Amino acid sequence: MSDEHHKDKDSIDPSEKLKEQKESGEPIQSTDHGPGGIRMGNAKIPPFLMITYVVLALWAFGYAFTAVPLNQVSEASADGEAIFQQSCLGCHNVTNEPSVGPGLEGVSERYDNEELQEILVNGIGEMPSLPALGLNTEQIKAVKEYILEL
Amino acid sequence: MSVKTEIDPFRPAKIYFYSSLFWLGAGLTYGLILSLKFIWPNFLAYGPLQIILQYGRIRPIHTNIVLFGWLTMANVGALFYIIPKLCRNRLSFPRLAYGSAFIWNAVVFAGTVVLTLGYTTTTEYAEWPLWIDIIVVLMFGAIAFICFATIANRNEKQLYVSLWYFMGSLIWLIGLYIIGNLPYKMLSGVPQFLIFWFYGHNVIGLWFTTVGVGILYYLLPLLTKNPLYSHKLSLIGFWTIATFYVWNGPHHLQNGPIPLWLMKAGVIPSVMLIIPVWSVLANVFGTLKGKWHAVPHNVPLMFVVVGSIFYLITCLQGPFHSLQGPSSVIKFSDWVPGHAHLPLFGAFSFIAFAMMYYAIPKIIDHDIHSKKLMGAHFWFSVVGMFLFAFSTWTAGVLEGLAWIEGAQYGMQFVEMLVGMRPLFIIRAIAGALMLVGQMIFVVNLAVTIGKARNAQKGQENSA
Ligand code: HEC
Repeated sequence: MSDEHHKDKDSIDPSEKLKEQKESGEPIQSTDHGPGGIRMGNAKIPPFLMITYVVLALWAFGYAFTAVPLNQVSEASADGEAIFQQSCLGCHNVTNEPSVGPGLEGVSERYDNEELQEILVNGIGEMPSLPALGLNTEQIKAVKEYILEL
Repeated sequence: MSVKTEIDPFRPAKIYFYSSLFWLGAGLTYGLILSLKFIWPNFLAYGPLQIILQYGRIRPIHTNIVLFGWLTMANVGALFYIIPKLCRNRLSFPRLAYGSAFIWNAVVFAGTVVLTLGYTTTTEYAEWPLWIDIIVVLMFGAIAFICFATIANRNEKQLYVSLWYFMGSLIWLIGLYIIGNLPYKMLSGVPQFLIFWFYGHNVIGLWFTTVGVGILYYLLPLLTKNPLYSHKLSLIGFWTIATFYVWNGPHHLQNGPIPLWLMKAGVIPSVMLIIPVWSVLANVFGTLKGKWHAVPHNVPLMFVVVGSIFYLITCLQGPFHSLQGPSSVIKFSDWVPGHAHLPLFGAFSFIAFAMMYYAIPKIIDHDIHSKKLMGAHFWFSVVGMFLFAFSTWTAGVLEGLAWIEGAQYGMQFVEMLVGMRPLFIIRAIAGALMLVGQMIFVVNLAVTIGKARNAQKGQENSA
C-alpha cells in the first residue's frame, strides 16, 4: 500500500504522468484507455439484476392499480371511558371530589353542550385543550359523550 | 521540486478537506449532547446554556453542521480533487475555489449562530434563514461553475462515470435548494410540507448520495487496482437514480393528509430505487472480485466496502418503510434517525474518510502518520454506527407499536418514554464512540500534515 502513493503522483502534465507510469511499471493501459488511471470493464448485466428489474416493474404496475389506503383510526381508540382514564384521570375524578381540576360529576348540569365543547377544544384556565393532549375530533366527541353521563 | 515551486493546484481541495474536519468534530459534539439529553433531559441545563443548548435549537444545529459543514465540504474537496484528475487538467478558477471555502465556512458559522439564537425556518435541513440561503445558492453556483469549467476544459475525451454523477449532483443541488427554501414563505399547510419533504429527502439523495457514489466509483478501481466491473451497469445506475429519486418526498407523508395517487407516486419510485442501488452494489462487488484478500490490510478500502454495505442496508430499509404498513409503525419514532444516520454517517461519511485517506497523502506528498490509528478510527466508527443503528431501530419499533396500542398521549406515553431509557443510553454510548473515532481521525491527519510541512521546510532549507 505504501508504494501506491508514489505511483499516481500529482503531476499535472499528462505526458509526464504517462512517462512516470511507464517507468513505475504500471500497466500503460490505464492511461491509454481510462481517465485518471482508471480502467473500465465491460461486464454484462448479471442475470439476477435483470430478473430484479423485471420483477420490480411488474410490482409497480400491480401496486399502482391495487393499493388502497390504510385505515389507521381503530374503533377502540374512540372509546370515551378509555380515553378519560388515559388522558383525564390524572387531573379529574369521576366523582364531585376535586383533584387538580374539579370533579366532573354533574358537569352536564353546569355547562350546555356548546360551552363544554368550547372548554374541551380550547382548554380553560390551567386546563390544557384536548387537541394539545393529542386527541383527535372523534376522540374528543367520544370523551365528551362519556363525561356528559357522569 | 519543480512542481512545488508553483502554487499548489490542490490548495482548494486541501482547504475544503481541512475545514470539513473541524465541522466534523463540532457537529458530532452537538450530536453527543443531544443524545445525552435523551438520558438526562436537564443535562447542561444551567445558566445561559439552558437556552443556547435547548434541544430544539441544537438538533438543527447538529444536522446542519454535519450536512453542510462536514459532508458538503468534504464532498466539495473531493470534487476539486477528483475532477482535475479525471479530466487530466487543473482546476479552473483556483482563486475563486480557494476563496469560496472561506465564505462557506463563514456561512456554516453564521447559520450555527442564527440557530443558536433561536431563529429557524422549521424546514428540516434548511433551517437557516433566507439571507443565508441566498449566499448558499450563490456559493453552490460558484462551485458548480468551477467544476463545469474544469470539465469543459478537459484533456481526456471520455467522461468517466464519476463525472456524470458529479455534474448531475451540482445541477440538482442548486435546484433543490432553491425550491426547498421557498415554501417557508410562499406556501402553507400540506403543500408546504410536501415541498419540505421534497427538499429534505432529495438533498440526501441527489447531493450526498450521488456525490458519494461518484467518489465510490473513483476510489474503488484505484484502491483495488482492478478495472471497474461494468461501465454499462454504472450508466444504468446513474440514469435510474436521476429518474426515480426526485419522487421520494411524498412517502414522508404516507398515511397523512395527501391524496392516494400522490402516496402511490411517492411509493413506487421509492421502491424502484432498488434498481440503481443494486446496480451500484453489483458493480462494487464485481470490481472487488479477486481482491477481497487485500481489504483487511487497507483501511480506506475497508471504509469503502463497509460504507457500500451500509448503503445497501439503508436502501433496503428505504423502499420498505415507504410502504403504508411499515410507515404507520416507524413514522415519528426513533427508527427514523437510525435510518438517517446510516447513509449519512455509515455510507457517505465513510466514503469521505476513505477519500481523505487516499487524497491527502497525495496532495501533501506524505504517507498517513499511523496505520494503527486509521484502524482505530475505522473500528470506533463501525461499532458506533452499529450500536446507534440497533438502539434506535429497536426503540423505534417499540415506540411505534406502543403508539398504535394507544400510548400516543397521557401517562402511557410517559411510561413508554421512560422504558426507552436503556436504549437511549446505548445510543449515547454509540455517539461517544463515533466522536472518539473522529477525534482519532482528525489527530492522525493533523500529525500527518504537520510532518509533511516539516519535511518540506527541511527540504527547502537544505536546498
Ligand atoms: C393537567 C391536568 C388536567 C388534565 C389532564 C385535564 N384537565 Fe380538565 N381541568 C383541569 C383544570 C385545572 C380545570 C379547571 C380549570 C379552571 O376552571 O380554571 C379543568 C376543567 C375541566 C372542565 C370544566 C369543569 C368545571 O366543572 O368547570 C372539564 C369539562 C374538563 N376539565 C374536562 C377534561 C377532560 C375531558 C379531560 C381529558 C381529556 C381533562 N379535562 C384533562 C385540569 C386538567
